[in-house]
Amino acid sequence: MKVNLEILSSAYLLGVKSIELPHIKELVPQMMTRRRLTKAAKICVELLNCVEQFEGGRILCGSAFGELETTANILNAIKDEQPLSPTDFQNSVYNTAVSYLSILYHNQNEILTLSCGDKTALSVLKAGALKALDGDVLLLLCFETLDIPNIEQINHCIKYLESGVALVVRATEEKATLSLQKSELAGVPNSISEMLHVAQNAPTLECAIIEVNL
Amino acid sequence: MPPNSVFINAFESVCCAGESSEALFEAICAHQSGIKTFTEFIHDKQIALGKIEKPFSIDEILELTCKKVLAKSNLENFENTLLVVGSSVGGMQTTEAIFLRDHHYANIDPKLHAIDAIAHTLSQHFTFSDDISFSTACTSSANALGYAHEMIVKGVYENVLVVGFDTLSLTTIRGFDALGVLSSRPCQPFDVSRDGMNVAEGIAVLLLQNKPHKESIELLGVGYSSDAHHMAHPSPDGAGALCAMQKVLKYAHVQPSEIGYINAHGTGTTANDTSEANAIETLFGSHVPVSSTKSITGHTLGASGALEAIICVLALQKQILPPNTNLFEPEHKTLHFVNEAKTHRFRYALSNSLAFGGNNTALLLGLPQ
Repeated sequence: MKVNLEILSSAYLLGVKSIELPHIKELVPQMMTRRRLTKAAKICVELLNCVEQFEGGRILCGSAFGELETTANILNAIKDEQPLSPTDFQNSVYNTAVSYLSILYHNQNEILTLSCGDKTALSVLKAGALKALDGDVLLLLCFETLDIPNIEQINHCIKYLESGVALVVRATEEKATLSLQKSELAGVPNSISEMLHVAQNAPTLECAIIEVNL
Repeated sequence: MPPNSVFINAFESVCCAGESSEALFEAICAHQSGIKTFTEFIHDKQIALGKIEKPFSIDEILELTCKKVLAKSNLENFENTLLVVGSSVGGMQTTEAIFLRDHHYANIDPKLHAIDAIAHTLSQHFTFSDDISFSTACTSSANALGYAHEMIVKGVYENVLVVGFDTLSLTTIRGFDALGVLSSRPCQPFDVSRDGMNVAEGIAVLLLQNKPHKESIELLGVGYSSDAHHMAHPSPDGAGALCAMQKVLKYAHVQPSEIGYINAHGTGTTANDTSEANAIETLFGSHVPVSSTKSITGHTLGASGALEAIICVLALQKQILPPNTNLFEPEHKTLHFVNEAKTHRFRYALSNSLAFGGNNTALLLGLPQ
């Protein structure tokens, strides 16, 4: 089955190291709340601020490696026989970033998180296309936050260690105007690549529509 | 065109309380818990966990469980089948072993670390038409079942294999210990004396198809909601769980009075059980039989949604209500808790899964129309 998705709004953030988030203090003014957010959660908050036409509906989010900083903190605490931080543990699940979005914006809708390795962005688009058949507007997100100490021990090909993409979509009967392919930018994680390609090119089109093959 | 119906036509599971789904159901009915105490996971501390004790690796058990489901099905292979995985920690056990041996990341294979590791492992033994993996903490495989349901209802796939999978890892054991919610004995969901949960490992595999077989149970719908309350604590009034249950009943056009059994998330923690009991009480009052089976299986985290769906399937097929175990003095005295396994004519069963981040999923299963 093929489903066409209209891209109503899009945004992306890329950082060779840590992404600068210029609006995060305004967007999450309470310092205690802001300090609890993971970097991925902050990226999602900033992305949500950048997109239009999403009024708090269903969200699908993808990440191949999830909350890598908290995962690394936990592993190092175990190695060093130190007690684990309860905040690190509760923030280590893959749905942390979008759960904070849900809490900050009182979004009580269906919010799902996928993790499909290099296919993550494509899987988010497929799941988004399936859900969009119900006729509502959805927010699709993907992110990676790989800027942790010693990541060079395992990362040999990703240049942009922090990244995030947001697409606001709905199903349409109109023909596709944008091909679904990997981003041509070298060094971005494969797990965000197809969504990044859409976000990079959608603003150049009067009406950006992609065809998603389920 | 009317939406397709979705049938659970084959299934199998492995957990600490049973090497098969049938053995697990017998254990639940006989109050035989698979939870044991261990001292090697946390220094100077005894904790109770659900560990699968078999002379094979967990990956070999997963492969064998999928082969058993294939053998029970009408399929020759999974080539026209979508694989949908639900897992909370994926390949974390493998990552931990390498990192704690080497003290660096260099030898960790990213493909075997992430949630996708399970689909990657299965792809070495089976060919699927496509795969997708969900990770929403303890609702992971309930959400995988929800996605499978939607794929069949909307006519995209005729066959979907759902795998719920989580292994014991130091991350989860010490993490839940850091939150102060681990019990040193088999847990007591909904009891006034409950003092926490039992982390456990489990594998649950279900084949969902668009056509029924002789003993099929129908997956009638899935309700989703978000608490929008707190990362690790459910809303005390159970509003999120209530919303998920209301949504699935509305979707399936089933009245609360028609539900014959609720398999509660019921972890044994103070926060979860109070919240969930409030939600059940609000929607169902005291008339629907309720049990948590986690005092037998432990909390298999991302696998629990699929494992408890299988328990509901067997309850419906056998028309037996699975009982609570270790529930001596219920905190919510108005709820209708099942104390002993008993035969009971009922058509619909509800299974709740609730997770970190306030992620809630309710599955509605029933005898075919």
